[in-house]
Amino acid sequence: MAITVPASGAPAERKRGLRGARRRETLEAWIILTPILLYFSIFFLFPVIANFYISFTRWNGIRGRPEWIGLTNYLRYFRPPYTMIITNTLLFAGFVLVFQTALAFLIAVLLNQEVRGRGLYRALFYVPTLTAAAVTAQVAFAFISPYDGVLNAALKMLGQNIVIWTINANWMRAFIIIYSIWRGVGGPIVLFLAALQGIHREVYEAAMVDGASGWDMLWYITAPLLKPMVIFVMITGMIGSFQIFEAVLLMSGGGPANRTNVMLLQIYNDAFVNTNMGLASAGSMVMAILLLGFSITNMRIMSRGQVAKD
Amino acid sequence: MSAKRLSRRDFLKVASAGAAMAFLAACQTQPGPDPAVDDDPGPGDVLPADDTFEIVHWAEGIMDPDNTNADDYKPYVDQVHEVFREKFPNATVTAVNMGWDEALRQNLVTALLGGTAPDVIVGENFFQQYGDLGALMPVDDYIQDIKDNLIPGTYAASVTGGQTYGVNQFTGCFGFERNPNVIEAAGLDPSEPPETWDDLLYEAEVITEAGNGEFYGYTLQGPVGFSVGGIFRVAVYLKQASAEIQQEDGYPWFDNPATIPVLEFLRNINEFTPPGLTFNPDEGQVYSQLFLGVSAYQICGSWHVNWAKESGLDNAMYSGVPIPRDGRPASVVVGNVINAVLSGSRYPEASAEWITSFTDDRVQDLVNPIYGRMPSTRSALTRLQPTATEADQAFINELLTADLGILPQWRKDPQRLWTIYNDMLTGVLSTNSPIDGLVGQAQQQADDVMES
Repeated sequence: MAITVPASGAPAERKRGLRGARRRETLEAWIILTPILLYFSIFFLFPVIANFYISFTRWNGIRGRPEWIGLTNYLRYFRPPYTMIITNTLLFAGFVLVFQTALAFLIAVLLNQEVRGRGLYRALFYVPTLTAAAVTAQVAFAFISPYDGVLNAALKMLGQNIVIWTINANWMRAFIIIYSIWRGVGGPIVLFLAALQGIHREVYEAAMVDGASGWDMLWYITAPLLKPMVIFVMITGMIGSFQIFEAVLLMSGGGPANRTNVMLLQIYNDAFVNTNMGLASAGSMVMAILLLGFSITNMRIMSRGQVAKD
Repeated sequence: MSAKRLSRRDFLKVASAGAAMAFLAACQTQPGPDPAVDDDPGPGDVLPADDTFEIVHWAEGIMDPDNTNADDYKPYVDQVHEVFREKFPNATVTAVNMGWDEALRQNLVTALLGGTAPDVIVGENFFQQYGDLGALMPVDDYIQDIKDNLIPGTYAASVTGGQTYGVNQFTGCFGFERNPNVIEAAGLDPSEPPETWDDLLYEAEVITEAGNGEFYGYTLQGPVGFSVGGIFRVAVYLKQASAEIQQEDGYPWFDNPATIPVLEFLRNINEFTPPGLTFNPDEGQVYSQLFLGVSAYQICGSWHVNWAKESGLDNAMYSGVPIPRDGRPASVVVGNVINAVLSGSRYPEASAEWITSFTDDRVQDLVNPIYGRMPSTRSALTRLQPTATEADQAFINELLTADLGILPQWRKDPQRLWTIYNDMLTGVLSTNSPIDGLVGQAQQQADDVMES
């Protein structure tokens, strides 16, 4: 809003007018911000504070009041099976993040070429992301079903014994990672494509004139120019990878022997099956701390070169 | 038409007033029962004498007026309401279907936290845990006169600390199902079911050999994650062998020596199952293999009778589950629908009377004809017996005569304890490791859970 300051008059009067205008601006700002601040406080800030408090208590969430037990819930995260659950989460998040980002980058570069049916390919890669997890998990499970799955049918055709994939922890971990990458790669592809289309053709043409090969252009032009998008994709991807839930719930239930169990599933089970709200809240806080730490580290590492260049 | 331009300041005033009103509207108290999270809600609230009042019941699907088959179920539903109205003419009951098992429990916890819990809740496996937490109201006083007529196994899952917290609506139990076509194809006589585990093992082996990869002797549902589908059936064999996996105080007893012969039997019978089927998490697909002629024998619930017919197997046969050499006839209730009153209910007395209405003879007599499930009172089962189909007779007989058990109800960390038990079962069924070692390991893990 434009502030009208009197062109003439005593300095004291001008000062008063200025102060009044500032007060009005401040008031208007608060009025504008109040609804969103209220919304944010009720649905985000208060739950986080409440969750933080509950994480130090024993509370079933059904009856009675939370009982303060200090760090007990957090200490359980240093004992089995929670150590394994954290390890699984980090393992899944790491693999999914790295391979999904790399795959999305490569697919986006390919989809950015002038090929026939480019629009169709772009849509196809995004279909798993748009489809409900329950459906995609069923599709994925059709491959590994121990009784009549595609993989076992292939083994039978080759005269081999079938494999009970679902009770083999390593296979199930691999399947969950592959499924998560397949389901989630559509989002980063769209983001990388958008960024790729923002790079001017002249840059590539100049490089070609200088004799740069396709690989040189990818490595020295495309990759550096996409760095801000890579940072964004890595951070959002990391948050998404830590939140693997449906894949585990629908494909393995966390088994065998908790080897595919992840933090989000355990938080859900602790809250709604084990009725241990304190432990579930502590799990949420541990996850938030891990995510915050990784996000900050990621941002620092990825922006180091950027800052130096700037 | 002249349009008056709204100044920015006026716009801000209108917008902020609107936001404030929306906020106040969102914050106003929602109608619904009192929160159950109060320290001492307890029964005894004033019951409206003349005014009409509403009881909210999170109910089994049959009660839901929005059910796609509501017209078929109407006679049953109307009968329950009629019985209840005789006691409380001013009361109405609103039945809402809030899912079953995990979904239902999630909704319930959320509602209890939010103070929007119903008066009455349906369920199967969580009443002991909630009863111990004080979230349910004891109903012993309300069932005193009818208790002798109730089949004890059908409400046992709601008994804890010497008090009863629930009343059964209808029930079911496990029996034994056979596909006579497969048995005949193997050269055996299907008219006589195997009576002992040894008979079953022998016949399953003969059938599997004769089938030569085309058909097999037995269907076994194995463990998956912390799901209890497979354990439900294992529990029948455990019960027959008096091999408890839970001590009387509720503590896990996975290394009970009496369970070892049961687990050995399961390991042996698993040799005669279709390859890969045991660990298939799709329960429907597991049990439909018998209907498709892939398997000869399996444990079944009372709903299998219709399922077999719908799947094209018209001549499926039913009997009691084979028993171990020194064992006893026993079964486990399944599809066992119990209703309980939440301790935060606004109308505890009326709610308790509502759930006992389901045990009235007029209501119980409609369970089987309308819904195909089994009534849970002795009188209704006895009346049903002479007219029931041969298939249903097997289940009625189990309910009236067999020792009926329930699945263990863990008071603490059920998900972690069932995961441990399922992992132990996986070891039994997929390795040759000594069983005593596997149960010992499971017990150690269960001890850790209980001590944590």
